[in-house]
Amino acid sequence: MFTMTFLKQPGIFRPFSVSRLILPFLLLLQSTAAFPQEKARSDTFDITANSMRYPHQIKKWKFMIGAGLQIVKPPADLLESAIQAPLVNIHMTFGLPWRLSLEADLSTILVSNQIAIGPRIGYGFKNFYFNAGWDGAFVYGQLRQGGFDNSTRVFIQYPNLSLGYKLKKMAFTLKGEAVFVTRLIQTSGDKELTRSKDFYNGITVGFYLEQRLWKNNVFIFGIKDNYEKYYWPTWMIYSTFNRFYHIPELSFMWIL
Amino acid sequence: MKIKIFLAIMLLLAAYGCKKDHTLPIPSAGPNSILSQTHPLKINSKLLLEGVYNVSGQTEMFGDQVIVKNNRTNILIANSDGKYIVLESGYLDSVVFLQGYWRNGYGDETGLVSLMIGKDEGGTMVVTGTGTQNIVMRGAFGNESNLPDKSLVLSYSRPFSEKAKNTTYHILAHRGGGRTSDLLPVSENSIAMVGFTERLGSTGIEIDVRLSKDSIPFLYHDGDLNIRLTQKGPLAGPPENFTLNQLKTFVRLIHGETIPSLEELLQYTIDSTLLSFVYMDMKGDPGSVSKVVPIQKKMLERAAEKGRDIIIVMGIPNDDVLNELLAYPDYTSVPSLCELTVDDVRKADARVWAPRWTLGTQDDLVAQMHAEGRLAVTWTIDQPSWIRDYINEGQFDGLLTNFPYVVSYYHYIQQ
Amino acid sequence: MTRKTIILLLLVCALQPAAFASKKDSTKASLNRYSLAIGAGWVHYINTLEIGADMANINSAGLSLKFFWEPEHRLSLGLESGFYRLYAVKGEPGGKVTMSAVPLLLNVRMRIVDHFHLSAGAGLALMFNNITGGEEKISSTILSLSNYQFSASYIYPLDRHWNVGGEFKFINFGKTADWLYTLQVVCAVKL
Repeated sequence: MFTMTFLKQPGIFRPFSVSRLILPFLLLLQSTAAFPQEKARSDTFDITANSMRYPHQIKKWKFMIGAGLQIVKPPADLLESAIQAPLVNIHMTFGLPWRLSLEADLSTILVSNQIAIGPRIGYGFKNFYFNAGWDGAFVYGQLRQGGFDNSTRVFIQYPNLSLGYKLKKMAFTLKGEAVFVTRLIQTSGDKELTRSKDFYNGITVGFYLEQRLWKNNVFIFGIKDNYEKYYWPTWMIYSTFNRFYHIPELSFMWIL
Repeated sequence: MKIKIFLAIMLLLAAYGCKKDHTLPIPSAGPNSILSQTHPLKINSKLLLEGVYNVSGQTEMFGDQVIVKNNRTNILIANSDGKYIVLESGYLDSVVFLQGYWRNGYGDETGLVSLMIGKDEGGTMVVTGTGTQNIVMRGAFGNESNLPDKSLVLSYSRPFSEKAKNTTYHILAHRGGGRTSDLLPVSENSIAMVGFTERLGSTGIEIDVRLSKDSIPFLYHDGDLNIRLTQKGPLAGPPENFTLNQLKTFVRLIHGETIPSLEELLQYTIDSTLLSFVYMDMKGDPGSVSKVVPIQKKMLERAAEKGRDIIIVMGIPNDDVLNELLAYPDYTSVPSLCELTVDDVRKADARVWAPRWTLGTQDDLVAQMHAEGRLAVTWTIDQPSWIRDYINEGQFDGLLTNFPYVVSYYHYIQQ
Repeated sequence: MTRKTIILLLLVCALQPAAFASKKDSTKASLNRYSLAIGAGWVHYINTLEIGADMANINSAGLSLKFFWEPEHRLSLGLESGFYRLYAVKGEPGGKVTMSAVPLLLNVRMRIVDHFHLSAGAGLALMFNNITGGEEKISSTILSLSNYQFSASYIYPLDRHWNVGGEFKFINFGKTADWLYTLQVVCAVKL
């Protein structure tokens, strides 16, 4: 079992600080930018116009859609009854006037489904962009097999902030969300197992890298930590595991 | 440099990935506890503490009322929404001291509790066993291992009702007495858990029975050896793939216990506890019925020799186990618990009918079972409001739960 | 971080464009190439066993096989498999428990600088648990659904088709919460 303390032992690693990571990371980015990219002389591609996670102001009335998979590692407590399969994810962005945009997100593993939609407002400075938004989400889940007859309906609010930095051909985005459950109903047959409302459910932090995979088709790679009490894909066991967990996700998405 | 950074990131990820989800140690007052200087209370004195108490002080934590119930090892105080207190007791002169810990069974909060019954507030009565039960427990509770600093006063309100005292209601605790995932200090389906569960208010247990590669019934819930239930060891895969010797050698349950055989666990239950009901949930390994029945018979004989009034029933969760039991010679002599229909109960001549709770209280069918001399228990209710409704409105003889202290509360608070 | 290190890093970064400008742009590649790579090398299991840790042999040899689609930009997408022995634990005299794994991962690889790549992947793994000696052999196969790999590789082109290099990789097997790292020699052919 690893702990952080060993990082402080002399001779293994020097004292760990964020600055020791950030500086080399920025230098690495600088070096990637410095290299001539393919077909550099004739390539007018700009990631800004082709990205979905980077929080720039999307062009007015422009619509973008991406599809992908999210692979989740649920905590051991939830493994007993959690269904482990990749989440299929569709993400959409629609440009609006006055620095606004609308984003929608649909995720499903059949027995658990979430649709989220909400506005964003963004501002930018040089290669940095920032936006703030608020998503309202509805979760519907249903499990009718193996003797179970359970279902759930949940409303969740996701106020969120994103900070992006871009190079010409790739963009990096850090996104944080707070998670508030406004209504949660879970039933088994005609019995109501759980009814809760208005509770703080945790935070999520995600990091996304966007760049072209082929031609001008952009691929998004993301890594996200959900620190939540109620993680909607595992709604089946919520009523008996009422505690916070770190639940990491890897995501892969193509912008279509 | 880049490699070092890369390594550091990878090792941080490794640390994150290896992190155990939760542990929740029981807070302890340590060796300086006042109880080390007291005399132990006699059983009659402890029974005088039982009853319904009104709460004052920090009522937002424990509500307005609690029940106080003595059990084999401790004194349990339980409220309506899953908060409970487990206390050791002792006296000095005519003052009674109670120390232990509290826990939110539906969350991770816990802390120390220290209470005292003064000489003139029931202490003399409890110690001498004479007088009226005007008991007031005064003290405090705290968070985790910090010294108790929040006021808690429990005032005796009334004794348990005749209905609560005279009805045998089976409070059956899941997984041998409690789930590992509820962060109890001992592992589910272990002998240690059987020894622990009475302090949570259980009067019976449900256990998960599997058959090892060398045909020995043993206890384990999940379909594979995993880090949810066991310490990391070299074996993996279905536990039935291994002999009991291999399981005992290479597997430790999450708190370090070995996987028990069914016989070991039943023997411990009979010899070392006051539990009165064992529900053997057969996980369906082919051939397990014929291996379990002789052990069940032997243990029932042992219980009879020791004068222990205990029900040990083989669970019938599905048609496969039912058919295997029906094929067993003289199957009607095998005490069983059938989770299927009442017709199946009759077919197997099961002693207990155990329908899923979501099918409702089914009063008519329960009455039929009672008329036929059978018991009826239901599984598995965890929500306090449903536990309350099934106890108050249903006719079942008991229920299976992961939260036996909530069942204790609603059973003993009945008027 | 020492001043010397910072100056060195800045110097390297500053000189990179100049250094590569004088060369033929070797990052330029034809569209939609494919590559097949085989790797072999040392595998080290990060020993987190709580039972049998002292008796575990945690070093072994491993193999990997990768197929990548390499479009014209920095990213490549591919599938990876391989064979890794995590550990062998000696038990009673003559007895041994081994755990091995065959992952099947979807990988995303990014070229950071010429020939140097970082990669991440996720997917399935089959894990094989075997007990030998003493009693009869017992084999169990486990499906692990949440598995990850993170790796860094340096692959140098020998000619238009053939490449050789090295790779350092961490793999996590979610079902058993096992981690290993491996250092491999890689031979790749561009199709």
